[in-house]
Amino acid sequence: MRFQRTKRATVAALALSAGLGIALPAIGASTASAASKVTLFMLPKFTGIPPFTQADQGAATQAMQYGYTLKYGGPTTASATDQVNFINDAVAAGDRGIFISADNPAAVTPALQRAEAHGVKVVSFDSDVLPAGRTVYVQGTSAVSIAMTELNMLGSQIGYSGSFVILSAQATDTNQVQWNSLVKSDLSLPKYKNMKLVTIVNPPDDSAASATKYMQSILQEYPTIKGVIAPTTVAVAAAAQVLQQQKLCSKYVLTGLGDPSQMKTYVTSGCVKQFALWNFSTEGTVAMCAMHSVLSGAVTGKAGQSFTCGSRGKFVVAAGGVVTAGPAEVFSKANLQDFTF
Amino acid sequence: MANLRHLLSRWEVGLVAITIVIVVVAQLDGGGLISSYNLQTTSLNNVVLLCLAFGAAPVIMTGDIDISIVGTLSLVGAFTASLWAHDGVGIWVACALGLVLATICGVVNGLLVVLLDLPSLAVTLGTMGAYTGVSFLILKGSAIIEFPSSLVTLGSANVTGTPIPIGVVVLVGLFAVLTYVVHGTQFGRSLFAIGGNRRAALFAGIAVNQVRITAFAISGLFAGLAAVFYLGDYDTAQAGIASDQLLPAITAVILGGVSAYGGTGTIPGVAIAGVLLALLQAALGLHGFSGEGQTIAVGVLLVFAVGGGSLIRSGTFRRLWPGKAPGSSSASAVIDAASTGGG
Repeated sequence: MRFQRTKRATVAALALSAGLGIALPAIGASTASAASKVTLFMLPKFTGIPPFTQADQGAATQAMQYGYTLKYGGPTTASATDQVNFINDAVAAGDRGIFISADNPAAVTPALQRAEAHGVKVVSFDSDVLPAGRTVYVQGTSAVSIAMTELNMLGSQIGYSGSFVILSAQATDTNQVQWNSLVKSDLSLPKYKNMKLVTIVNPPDDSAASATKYMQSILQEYPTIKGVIAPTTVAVAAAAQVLQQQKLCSKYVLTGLGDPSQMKTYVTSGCVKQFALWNFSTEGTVAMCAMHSVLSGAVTGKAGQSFTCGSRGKFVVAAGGVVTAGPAEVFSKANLQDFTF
Repeated sequence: MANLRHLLSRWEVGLVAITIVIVVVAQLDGGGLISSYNLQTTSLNNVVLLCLAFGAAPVIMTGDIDISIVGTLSLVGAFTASLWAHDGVGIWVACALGLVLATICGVVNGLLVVLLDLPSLAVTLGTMGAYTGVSFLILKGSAIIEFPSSLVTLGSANVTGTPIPIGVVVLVGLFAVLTYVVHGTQFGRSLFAIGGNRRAALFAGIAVNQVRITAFAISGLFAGLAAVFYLGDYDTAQAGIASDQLLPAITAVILGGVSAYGGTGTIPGVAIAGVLLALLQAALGLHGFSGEGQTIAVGVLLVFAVGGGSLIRSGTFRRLWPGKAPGSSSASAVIDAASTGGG
């Protein structure tokens, strides 16, 4: 807590002295006094949203076991330039490792390479940087697992038979494109042979308003479909609201990737039976275990290397330095209470 | 003695003082701010911002504003990268063509503002969207990376044998040229005359329209230069890059003492404000402050500096504290600086 107070005193001193042009001598102890410990820095795309806070908590718990100090911070809005500021500051402050979820994968990579040249280790999570800018990338779950889970959630509710639509995000979203193309190829498997994908709808932006509008037109244009898969947290919540308002919950099955706190209402009301997401806390924990092995030199990013992560067992580095933290987590009325994010 | 007092009363001197305070406080409380690595990376990461701010300053001095600079940056970045990657044009030829396009973007802004007699805020709000939109059409959501090493060297390498980034040296050169143009030429004096009183400038025989259009052209050109720096430093071109740099750039211009109403300000002031903001951000970041904390600190600084300056200028301080005669306090030193900033 002393650490906290010093920080607050410094911001006050800096802001005041900057604003008024008056020099306030800084108060004694510095943050450096606690720094015989290894400090690490976690840099999300931006702060203030639950998934990243959850990843931070998962990583911090594991950091305590290793005896590391984990700092967490980032820009308030999505900005590659701001992320680079935080990268530079972490290196200059003497942090030994950086966890990053990239806002713009290519733009932050040169700064990460400079950090690496300075002896700092980098592990990316959630959203990868270019491979040259990190040792390993920890993804929450694999694209394969997401596509399978989506089809199973829908299929199990419609008897694996009938047509459906995917309500996706912008056509430029690389994650969405990958997941949707995997869904398409999975449909050729015998299990899903009676399921038919009518079309993939790409709203022009990530807003709830657009998703709502496009969901409404899907229902008008394809009234005979059995269900909708919405693989974005924004679209699945917007689509659920449309179904609920139009009292069509019993007619169409809706599933996809959703944020538990946003989806709670619709699951409680029974409008949505199942949706999925990866577990951000687990992702943070595994990223911390990966960082531990990277710092010790046991993992250098080569495919086939492995590390253990407490009770979670052994993780193997796949091609391209990618580590998968776990399977997609399926949420329903039964387990929704257990998740706080 | 009078000369010394005149010097001390300048806005820029106040900025330098604040900068020194930030450095001293940050060094006393942990250090690391004045390390070679930190100075290097911090200065590199602010080249684009300062380049945008330099370019925007002359336009603001004439009483107009150009918020399309980030749109121009995005468009020129996409255009230059696409010429190189898709059309096989050499990188430096592509950059030169990019700078031509940037200047054209600026001239278009100027023509719309001057000939149609439209408010510059509305015009450049529109062209910001249009220029950014075209960059999306060019790159279609994809990114172009791994530029030739010559460009990456300009953007991120150091001058051989020194720890000084080449980009910073080039920026200092641009700063010197712009300082001369704004403070040492007839054109520069016209900028302030127009910003001070457009009608009077017209009656004084100044080619008001030409000067205003030229100011927009400079703004466009510097946004184009910022795009070249961006490609070299971040080694990536994508539609919408650096859209977050608009407000920090305008902040540096205003904090630098350029009046938002036009007529006053200096290019060195903008440069010092840029350095101040960069060091403040780095100092806060080094001490582990969150993005929220940094945003608040910059906001507080801007309100104190600009609000304080404005209060002083309007004479509010003198009315509130009549006991303090003009010229007797350091506060009134800033008064003079604020009201005569253009020099």
